[in-house]
Amino acid sequence: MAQGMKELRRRIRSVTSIQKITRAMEMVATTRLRRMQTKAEGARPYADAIKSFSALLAGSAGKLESPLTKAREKVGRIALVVIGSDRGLCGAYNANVFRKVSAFLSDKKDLPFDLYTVGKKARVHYARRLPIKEAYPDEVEKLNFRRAREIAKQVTELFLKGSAAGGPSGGASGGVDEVHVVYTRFISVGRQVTTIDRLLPIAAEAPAKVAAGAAGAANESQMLLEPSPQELLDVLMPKSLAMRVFAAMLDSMASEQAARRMAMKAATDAAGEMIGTLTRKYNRARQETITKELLDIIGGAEALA
Amino acid sequence: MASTAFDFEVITPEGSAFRGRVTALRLTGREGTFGVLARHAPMVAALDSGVLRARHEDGKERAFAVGEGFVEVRRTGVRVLVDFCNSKSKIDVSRAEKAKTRAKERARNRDSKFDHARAEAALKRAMARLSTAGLPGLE
Repeated sequence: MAQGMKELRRRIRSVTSIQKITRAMEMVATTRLRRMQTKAEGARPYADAIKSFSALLAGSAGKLESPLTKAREKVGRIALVVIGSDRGLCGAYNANVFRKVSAFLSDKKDLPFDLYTVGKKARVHYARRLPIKEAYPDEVEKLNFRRAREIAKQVTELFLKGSAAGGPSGGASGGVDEVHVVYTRFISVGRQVTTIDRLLPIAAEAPAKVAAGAAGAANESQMLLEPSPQELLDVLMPKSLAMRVFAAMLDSMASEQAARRMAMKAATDAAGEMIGTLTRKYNRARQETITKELLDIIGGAEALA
Repeated sequence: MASTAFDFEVITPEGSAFRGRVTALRLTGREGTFGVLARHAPMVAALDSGVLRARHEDGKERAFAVGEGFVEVRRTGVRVLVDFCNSKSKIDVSRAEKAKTRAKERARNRDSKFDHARAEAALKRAMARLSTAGLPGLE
């Protein structure tokens, strides 16, 4: 029995120290989450301004065309940007992303694709499963707009090349006809949704938005546009794309921290429960030995009497 | 001449970089530099990376290195949307120097047209930072 008690004591101690670690990680994730949320809020004015510019251009200058908005008739190859995390212990965060990717790819059947990964976990996961076209450097946490712009530039270039739909090279051009991004949308601290969005071709401005832009443009009709609206659009489109990549990265980061916080909270709670159970077991074992010893003593005394 | 002040804000994807009242601005447009004073006609213009100078109400002038973007002039004020915005004191000159030589190097050996365009953009950014840092007598 003494052996069993020693073992129980040892287990209680180890679970207690695990609980300390998970609680600390939970707190770290909470702080990081707050930081990411601040970052995401900082990005909002820029995103809003880009949107209002798009609406303004759409409303002021009739029909504008950008090669980035044109959908291909036949999609021969797609690019997929997968945003995961660098570190684990964040619950099903990465698993959800990978599941989304699998579902999406099986949906597209035999369509060839190029895979781009952001985050160490995504890179490691796909290293043995699917051919990765390019893994962006790890350290999702050091993300900044520059990185997002680089990614946006690269996929834009691929998209503009096309998958040879029009060219004679027959798929050898290395371009793609659609670009999608898989990320985790941050809805609230308790809710994150794994999402797949089409980056390119850029979806046409929703009619409602255009209407709002046109109404706003009524008193903006005197607005000078320099250089021409078309040229402005050509500058605006890549910016808005880069901003969407950046926003997806920010959302993913916030979601990762939220997921980690939840996972660590669950682990801390589970550890607490385990400590309770183990302590009860330990106490019972201890009481048993005491009772046994008492019985021995009483038995001995009775035998003497 | 007493100059009128107007609201001015610089917005980057990483947050608002500057906000305040100014009396005059000097911006680097796609087609050359231009100035904006109070009661400028409403306008939207594309900006190149370069120096942005702002004169404050007290007459002091500040300089920023800014990335590509837009300026939006409205009756209510001026908004600048750019990739980045460094105030003069925060520019890392040695890093910008390095970026400049690297970009020049890349621009010289023309492997593909795209890389060339990219190197040129990087060079412009580095030049924006350097020329901002080199402006005398400004904050």
